[in-house]
Amino acid sequence: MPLRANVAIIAPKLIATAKIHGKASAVVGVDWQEELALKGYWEVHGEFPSPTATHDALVGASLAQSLGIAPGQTIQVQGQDFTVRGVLLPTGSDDDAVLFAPLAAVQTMAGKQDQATFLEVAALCSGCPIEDIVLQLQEALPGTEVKALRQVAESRMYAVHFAQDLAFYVSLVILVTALAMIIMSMLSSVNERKKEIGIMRAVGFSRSSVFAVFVSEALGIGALAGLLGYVAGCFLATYVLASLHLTEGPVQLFSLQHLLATTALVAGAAALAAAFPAWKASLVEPADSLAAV
Amino acid sequence: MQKTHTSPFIQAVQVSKRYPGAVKPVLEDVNLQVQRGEFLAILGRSGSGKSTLLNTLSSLVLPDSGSIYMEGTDICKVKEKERNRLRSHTFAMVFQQHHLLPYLTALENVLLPFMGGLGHVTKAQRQAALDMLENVGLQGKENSRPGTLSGGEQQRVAIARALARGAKVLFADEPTGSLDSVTGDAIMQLLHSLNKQGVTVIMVSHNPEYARQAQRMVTMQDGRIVGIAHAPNE
Ligand SMILES: Nc1ncnc2c1ncn2[C@@H]1O[C@H](COP(=O)(O)OP(=O)(O)OP(=O)(O)O)[C@@H](O)[C@H]1O
Ligand SMILES: [Mg+2]
Repeated sequence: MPLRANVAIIAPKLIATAKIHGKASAVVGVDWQEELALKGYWEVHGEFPSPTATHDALVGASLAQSLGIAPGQTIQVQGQDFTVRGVLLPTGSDDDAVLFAPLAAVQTMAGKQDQATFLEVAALCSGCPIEDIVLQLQEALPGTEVKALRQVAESRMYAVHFAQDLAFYVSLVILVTALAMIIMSMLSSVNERKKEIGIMRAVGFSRSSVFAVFVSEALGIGALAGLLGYVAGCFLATYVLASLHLTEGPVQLFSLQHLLATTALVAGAAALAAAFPAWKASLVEPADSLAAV
Repeated sequence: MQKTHTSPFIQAVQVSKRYPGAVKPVLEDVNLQVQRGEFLAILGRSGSGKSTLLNTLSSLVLPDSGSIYMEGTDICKVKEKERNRLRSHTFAMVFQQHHLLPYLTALENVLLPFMGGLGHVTKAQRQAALDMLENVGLQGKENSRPGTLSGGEQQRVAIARALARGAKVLFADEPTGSLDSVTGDAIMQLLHSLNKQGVTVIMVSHNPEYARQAQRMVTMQDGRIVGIAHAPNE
């Protein structure tokens, strides 16, 4: 059964190298309409080129940065003028390092009329019989190399977003559970330490001092937990990211601001959770320390 | 504050107390006067209300009715803040079981009353604590934790804590109760020497010999004072 109906996008590409501002760079000739349909996850600083424009360009994030290109600028590629409509936001893929230009313009520039380096084909269906589509394409285009790209960019982005959402909700659940545990364990600790609190009250601690003792204890423990948690989380995240192949190369996850913010947040949450047990502690009477005798 | 030379230092007037749920009151119309610089002993059978009387005098327990005057001020009627201040500055307490915080060192336990305001402990306060530890014979043990000290040493830490801040009154509830006689004698000597330095001592004791060393002995029975005796050699 021909699976042509399943093929939604066919994006031809011609890859050439060209000098941009005197620096050798990769230029990818694309059919805007197909390419933009395929790369639905692209986000742009500026705007996307119009499908019919002949000399519009789109620049990858890292290339734009290294060449100092901004949207709206006109650049020279192999002596031809192109208007940069937009700069792509980082995608974490090869797209970051190249310049996208209209296919026809690149074909002319490279002297390869009506040629393409490869065709990117997108089959939009869930549970697509990828293997079959590959086979049929192979039969239809003898002498062509047909490869299934399992890690399609879109599913990649989906995985990233899914992981982010999941991480957020799991963190939220963990935070709430942790706060409940702080309350429970501090309540029992207040009970165990009644005598101790009684001693403090007997030597003149006021109720508010006792309250402050317990809250500041939680504050200290919370700060330590936040600190350790952040560091451990960084290590774990690095490991998980590496094993999921979601990123290429090492990622800089650690930041001092995040560390301080996490520490302050956890310490504050712990102190908040400690408020009720600490209030209970402040109600202990000095004579309670004598009851056990 | 009204201070006259004739008014007693501490005075209990018609003090009654019943613990919630109890049928009989623990204290019934108790009247007692304590003079400045006195060494007073409270005697009586177990359950007669000695500890409760001591604790009402020291503001640890509030009576149901009656008044406790300290230099003319009814300490049951003042604000709680004022009672906190009394307990951290003027009153000092020592119990049968020394009531030290186990995770603090001897020195830190002595400094505990200074930490009530959560403020910084001053150099002078630290020095006073060290002096007082030396005064009770604990030099060299400043950094030991209660668990590593003997019962007598722990009691000395408690006494040092009670007095490091220059307390005027020492309330002692069976301070020798958990000690052997030799160690108990030493603690009694310490209390007497503190009394000679001007500290008013009110002590509950089961030991008649120690009680007889006091200037006055108050005997309690069923929540009432049934006898007051002056020391024969005074
Ligand atoms: N916190 C409390 N709650 C309820 N009842 C109490 C409390 N403290 C003491 N009592 C009761 O009050 C009575 C007097 O207690 P108190 O401790 O004053 O006696 P005591 O003379 O010090 O006895 P002992 O020599 O055994 O220490 C006892 O019957 C005791 O059970
Ligand atoms: Mg008692």
